[in-house]
Amino acid sequence: MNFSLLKLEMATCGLAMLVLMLEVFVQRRDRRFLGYVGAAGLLAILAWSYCPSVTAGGFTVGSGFGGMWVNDLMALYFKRLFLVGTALVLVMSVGFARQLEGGVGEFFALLMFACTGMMLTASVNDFLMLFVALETVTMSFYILVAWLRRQQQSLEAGVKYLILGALASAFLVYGITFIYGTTGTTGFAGVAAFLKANAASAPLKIGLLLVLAGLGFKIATVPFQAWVPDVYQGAPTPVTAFLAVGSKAAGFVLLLRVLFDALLPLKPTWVLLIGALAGLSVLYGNLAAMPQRNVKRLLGYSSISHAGFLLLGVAAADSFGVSAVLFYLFAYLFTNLCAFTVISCLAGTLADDERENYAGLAQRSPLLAAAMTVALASLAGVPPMAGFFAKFLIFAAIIGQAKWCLVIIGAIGVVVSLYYYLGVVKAMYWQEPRETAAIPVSWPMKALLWVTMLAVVGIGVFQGALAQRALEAAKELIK
Amino acid sequence: MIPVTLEHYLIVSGLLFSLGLAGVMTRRNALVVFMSLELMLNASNLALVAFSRFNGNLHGQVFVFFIITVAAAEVAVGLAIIVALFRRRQTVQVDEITSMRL
Amino acid sequence: MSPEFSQYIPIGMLIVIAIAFSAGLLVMSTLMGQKGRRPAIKDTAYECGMLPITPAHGRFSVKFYVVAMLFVLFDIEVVFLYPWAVVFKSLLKDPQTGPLIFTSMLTFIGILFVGFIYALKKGAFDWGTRAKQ
Repeated sequence: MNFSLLKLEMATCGLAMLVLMLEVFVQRRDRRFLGYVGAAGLLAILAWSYCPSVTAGGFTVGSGFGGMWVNDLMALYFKRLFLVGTALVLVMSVGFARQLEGGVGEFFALLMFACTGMMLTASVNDFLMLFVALETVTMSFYILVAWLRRQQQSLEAGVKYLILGALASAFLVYGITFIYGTTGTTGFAGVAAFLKANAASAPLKIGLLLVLAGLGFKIATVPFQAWVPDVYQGAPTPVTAFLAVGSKAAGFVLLLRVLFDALLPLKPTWVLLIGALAGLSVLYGNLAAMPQRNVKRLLGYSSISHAGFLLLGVAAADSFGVSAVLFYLFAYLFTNLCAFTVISCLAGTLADDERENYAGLAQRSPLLAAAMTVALASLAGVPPMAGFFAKFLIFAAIIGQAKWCLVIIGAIGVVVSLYYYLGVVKAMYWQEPRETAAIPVSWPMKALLWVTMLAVVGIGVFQGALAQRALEAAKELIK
Repeated sequence: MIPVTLEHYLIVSGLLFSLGLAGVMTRRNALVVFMSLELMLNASNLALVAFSRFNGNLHGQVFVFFIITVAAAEVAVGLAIIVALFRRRQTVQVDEITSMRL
Repeated sequence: MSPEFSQYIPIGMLIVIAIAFSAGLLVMSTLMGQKGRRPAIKDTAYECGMLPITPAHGRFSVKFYVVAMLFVLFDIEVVFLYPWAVVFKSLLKDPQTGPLIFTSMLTFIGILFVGFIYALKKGAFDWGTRAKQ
């Protein structure tokens, strides 16, 4: 067993425990500095992951722990994504700390524990490991979603996420049970070897479907999307952002690993299944988002539709499709964090997140309105934003596979999404504000807005480097 | 005596799982729903141990350890959330938590 | 009867005796007991008891809940200690696996210890004396 394979995760987990202990032992009224400690630590770990000693010479790249663990370029790609995302969410939480009741340090620590779990998901190569990594993420999110325990909406979101999340876990576990029972192993390689040698029996098929259902819950695809709108609306805004970028990416990396490592012999079957789910998610997410008035809820439905677009890339099932998914997740990370930073800046000022409250935002705070516009344009896929190039890659991949039905559904989704995203932009720029008082934005939030905005535009304009990395990572998955 | 075969264990496990699922679907009390969810996890535990015995390796039993621990953590977190909900709303009926609508 | 089944005969006998004993007591008390009027005063506390002033289903302090949950969490971790303890002696002799099996459990206990310190410092084990101040 080579523990150096785990050193990024161990460092992240250690950092989270350090923050927890600082919270307990440091006598200081204002504990928001703990968020900066966490963010700085995560960025240091991110820099460390670029060290030659980490990536070269088989030191960290490789597999271990009896084949349960694989550290390839794709794992590293996702680990960096989770580190960047968590660091930005930590900064956002510092700006949001005034709204958080109770312990702030614990909130930061839980975000980092969730990040550890997500980094574990990136390297999963065994169903046991999959279960443990996924539960680490989910368990942290149960607490985070229900964090505002004096607010009814947060608690309700917590209970809904808890019950539906536990139900998804139960399905996942029961599915894994049948996979283990029929194949006699929990390793992805062993399952793939079994599927290559034998035809899939009925219990095995049921098991695989149940596992896919459990993962479908995580990535919020139709028909496992019921929790999304309420939980997105009720959870504290940084947690919603983290759910949208972190939890979804963790679900997708697991889905990719399961589909391309364990279920590769069944590829013709699951391509159809994933394609159907993708089409349904795109249609449902976009159509259901149209009448929404609450911006957080709208972003929840938009998250379902984006899960659909990402699944389109998975349904293409070649290295271009997978690289498009990887690129999309990074673009989606910055885009969503930009949008949710704006929402959490407004949380102290506006009564709630209804769209009417966004009327005339451009007059009250030009920076917030500009950031929201950039984010929504990127979500809708308007050039030159990051979201445009991400969607372009997805469409290129499915056109390359000549899946014209999915192309048409995707195109309908893009057109419909323009309507409701632009509705918010219209409210911000062309409607009269109810109040005219300027909205104060603290400097960490300002910095976060600029970083995410520049990243969204930057990835859109200079997409080459990231697309190259995504393609290299995807080629390692699909040998 | 009828020899106890894998099928017997799987039937009991399937019954437990269905009972749990029925409980989640039909009951309205959050605590009972949560108990039903734990029942579903225990159905997996039973099947895993049985499979482990009949497959002749220990992977299944190791898996059960992890499920037990995860279920304990889930209970701790879940009950805390339900207790917090009760303190705020004085109810744990899931059909009464409907403050968020379109 | 097969031999592996016959070893359960004492348990069966115990169950039968337990049921017969409790049923017999119930039958005897109904047959031999005095039957008479039953005024309301007979249902209240007898001589040294206090009259009930609140419903019996009172709510407990949330502290009980916290302690119970901490017990469950720390108790359940033992499940990982048992298999470790079983193979500990044989694996420790091997220079390959010896340091590994030692450090891995040390890490595990260390993580638990961090959680324990957190609970301790947050006053989860205080029974109302310090937390009230």
